[in-house]
Amino acid sequence: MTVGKVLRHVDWWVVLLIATISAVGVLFVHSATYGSDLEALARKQVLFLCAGTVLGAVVVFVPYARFLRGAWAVYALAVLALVGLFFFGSVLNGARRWYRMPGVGFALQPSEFAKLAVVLALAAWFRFRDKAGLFEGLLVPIGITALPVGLVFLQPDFGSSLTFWPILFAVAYAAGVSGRRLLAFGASGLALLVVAWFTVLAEYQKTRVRVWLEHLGWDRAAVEGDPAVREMLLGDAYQPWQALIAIGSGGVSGHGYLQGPQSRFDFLPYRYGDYIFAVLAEEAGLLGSIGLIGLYLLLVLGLLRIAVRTRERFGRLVVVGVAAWLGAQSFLHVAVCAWMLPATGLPLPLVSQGGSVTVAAVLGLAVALGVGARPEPVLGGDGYS
Amino acid sequence: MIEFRDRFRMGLMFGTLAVPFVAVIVRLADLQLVQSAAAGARSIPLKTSSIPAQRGRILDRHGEELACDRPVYEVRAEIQAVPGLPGADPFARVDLEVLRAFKNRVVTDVLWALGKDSDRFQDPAARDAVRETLEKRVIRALERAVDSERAAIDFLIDRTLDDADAIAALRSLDRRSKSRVRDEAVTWRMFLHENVRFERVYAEPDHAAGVIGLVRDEPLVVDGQKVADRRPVSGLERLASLLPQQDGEHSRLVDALSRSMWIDRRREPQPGAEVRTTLDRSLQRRADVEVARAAEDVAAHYGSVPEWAGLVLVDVKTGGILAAASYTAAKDGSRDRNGAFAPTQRLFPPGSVVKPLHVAMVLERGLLDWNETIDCRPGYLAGSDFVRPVPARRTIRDSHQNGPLPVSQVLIQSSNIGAIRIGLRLGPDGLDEYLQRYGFGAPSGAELPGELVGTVPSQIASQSVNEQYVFAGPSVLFGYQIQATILQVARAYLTFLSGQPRDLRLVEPEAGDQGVTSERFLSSATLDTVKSALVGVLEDEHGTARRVGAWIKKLRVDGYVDLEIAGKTGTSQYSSSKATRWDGEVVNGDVRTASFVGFTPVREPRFLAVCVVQKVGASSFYGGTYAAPAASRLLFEALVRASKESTARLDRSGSTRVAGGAEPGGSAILSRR
Repeated sequence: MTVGKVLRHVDWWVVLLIATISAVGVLFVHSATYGSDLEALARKQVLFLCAGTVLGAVVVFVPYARFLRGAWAVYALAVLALVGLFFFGSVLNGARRWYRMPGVGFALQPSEFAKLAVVLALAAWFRFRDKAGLFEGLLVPIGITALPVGLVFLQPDFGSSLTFWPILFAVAYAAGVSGRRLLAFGASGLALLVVAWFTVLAEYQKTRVRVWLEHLGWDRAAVEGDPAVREMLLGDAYQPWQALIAIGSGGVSGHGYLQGPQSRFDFLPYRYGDYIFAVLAEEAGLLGSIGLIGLYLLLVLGLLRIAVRTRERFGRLVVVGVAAWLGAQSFLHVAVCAWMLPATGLPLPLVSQGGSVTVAAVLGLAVALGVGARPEPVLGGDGYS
Repeated sequence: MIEFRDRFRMGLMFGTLAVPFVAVIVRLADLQLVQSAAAGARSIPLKTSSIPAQRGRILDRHGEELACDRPVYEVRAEIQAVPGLPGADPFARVDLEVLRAFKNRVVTDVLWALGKDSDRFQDPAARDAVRETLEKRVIRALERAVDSERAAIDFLIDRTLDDADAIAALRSLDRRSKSRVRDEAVTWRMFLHENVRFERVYAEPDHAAGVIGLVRDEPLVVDGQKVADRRPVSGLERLASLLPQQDGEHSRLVDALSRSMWIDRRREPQPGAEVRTTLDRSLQRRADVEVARAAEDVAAHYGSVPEWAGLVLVDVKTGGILAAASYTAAKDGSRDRNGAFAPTQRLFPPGSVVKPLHVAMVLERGLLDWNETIDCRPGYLAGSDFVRPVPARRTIRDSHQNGPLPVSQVLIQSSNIGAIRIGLRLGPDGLDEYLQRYGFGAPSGAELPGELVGTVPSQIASQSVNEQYVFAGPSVLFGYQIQATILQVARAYLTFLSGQPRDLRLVEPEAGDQGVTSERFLSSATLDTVKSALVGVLEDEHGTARRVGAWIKKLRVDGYVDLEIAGKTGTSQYSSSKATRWDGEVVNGDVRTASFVGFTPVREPRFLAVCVVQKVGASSFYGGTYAAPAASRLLFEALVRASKESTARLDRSGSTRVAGGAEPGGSAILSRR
């Protein structure tokens, strides 16, 4: 397929959505770091987006069948990278999530790329298994997903580990796995969480859940007068509470760009990454929040439209996986900011500042766009072009 | 397109993904719409506070600043326990040694930043003093933090910081302190609050304090309401238009942790109006120097300073006051710069300076032939000679026994008897009109707050037996029974030189304000005639200001061939049993006031100067000796400057200037050959 044909078939609406979300991201990373020592992060984010765009452009022009061929290799590489973290990773804030890249001011976070690897691996697995049984249709895919999830959980990065499961659900369901079987798996997953509470969850993770549960019962009097609550607000509840203040004070139209007090006065920690949505909600208000959520929904819809148009199963499942990955991660990020879920560190794809999350998201989207640009790939009898 | 079953699954999948997003939107709507107000009240109480507005600037006639507000910063630092440190009393849990080390670090850092101000700490002792003060403040802040169990407490660094480098250094300190947080187990964040305040700055504090005035750092309260943060106490500063129009407003937000910040400027502050005065900064400075010199001359001759002196320079064309200087003696004999402002707040009987004023009126009305001889014998007049049937109880005398004198010599030699004989021809109504036309007893028009208006007799040549008014008619003809300020005398002469009632101005009028044109009551011919006699006051051998005339003649020899100053001296004297001397002593003695009014050039006057010096208990204290030199030197200075400005203007326009000729406006210019 020539370059011209690829460009003609690329879904430019999706490209426009990606560009818009990325621009919003740069703007609010700038706002979140404005006047602080971290102002350079907005420029860095532009660099990451540029790097992602260059890599993504290459990916779009590569026939996606080659990703099918290399899916397991990519998966294996991702797993190896995750394992390697325990030996070579840098410890930051008590977690071993990054490979420090000396001299470039950049740390590589393999868990972000692992999500793409899992998407490719699951799509490759399900390509010829539209009527698979329990073992091939559910247990093996669970295994494929659980391996990187376990490694990410051990870093520890509970938030990131959660985003793998929606990918499995979406790809499996799109591949034809029975909905009842998936629901049963989901229910057993919740039961496993209860087990995990008593076995593998760390104390700080339990505390986050406890504080979240407790905050549902707080009223105004408790916040202002209860010493225990005040202490919690100063301690474990500090970050989500500050995010709530930011979002709540935004009102309908927000404080205005660069005017959010929680952001400007350094009250909201990690606001350029794990709480970027709170900054947006504070400065752009409910209208801005709905606008950004709407953009993500349109992006997911756009990706699913590509999937619907793709008859080739691997390509279709990859696109579904990418849509599920980005959609689920976006929801989790917003839900954590709004304290609908216990606090956990999850970046908002394309918006939060971060090299790995940005480049991985752009690459995932580029793969999806590449699939969309080739509606009817000519594949050989063995499934390879 | 894929099969229907797959399409259905895609749709269901999107729906499944969309549902959580809808839930998120519902949650956000709840937070940002329903709970917004409550959350705001609970977590971010809003307080509106004011941002001070500046007072208006005072400018001279060239637009140079004479007084303006300079922003100074009240810099406070906030020590704050690191969020997350458990407990409601985070400071109390910290070891004392750690607190002490923290205090030392803060003091060292702040001193380093304040040291960026190049004017500060030149003296090591000053640095030590600041260190000591800072240490006390930090310790007190820490004590308060521990006592109050608060997570954040602030302390004052400096109240009047205005050095940009020091402020920048303090800001960088804020960042440095934040960055240090990462490296230490127990530490604080330091925030910087800069509440801008204004400090009044004066361009000529030593030379123009009297006329410009002063503001104090205490609230201005009117009818129980605070109107402004600073209270104007004197001079032009008391003009209402200078008051800040409206303070700005900004909101103060306080978060759930009781930390506050200023944000959201809701209303910009509206500063006071700019007042452009008629003052000339350099001439003001010169006037101040001259009035001090006049006082020194008195001190050199009498061994003690005069009680007060004043010197005013007026632009005859515009009526604008170019300079107004005041000298007041302090009890130790030094100059009291905070004393009463002589040009507007010292009343004195103007004495003989008024003589040309009524002589011109008599001449204008045809009641006097300029070539007439006035009989000034025998050197005194009893009251009964001109006011009947009032018993003659007082006698009016000339300082010298004169025979018959030409009218011009009546003015040159300042004969009281001659002036009375001429002036009484106006009759009672004419005398009333004389006082009214020249504006005695009325404000000078300068609108300088606090200006006294003086007094005039309520009845002229009264038939009343009230002794106080017996001599009112003749007395006002040589400047007694009138109490006037220097500005009022200046206004009287401005009127005289213009031939029509004029007002003085100290503040430039608004654009388009043409002023009021009054009816002319003195013709040019009359004025020229009287002015010729006033030249003689300085240049005639009998002139009362002949010493100054000699100085002028010398200047002409030096090359200022066009220099010509005319004027009239005045010396008034009254006895008082409660005369307050410069040293505060109340004595029984004569209060003598020497005055001189001069103007130049004579043909078309541009500048008018009035100098008055008052001394208690001095004999032979005359206007020609102690007032005329200062006024004449100031007039000469003004003329030289005007000439230079005119030359510069002509040079710029490429015209050729004719020495001694007239400038484009028609006024003569001083030239030097």
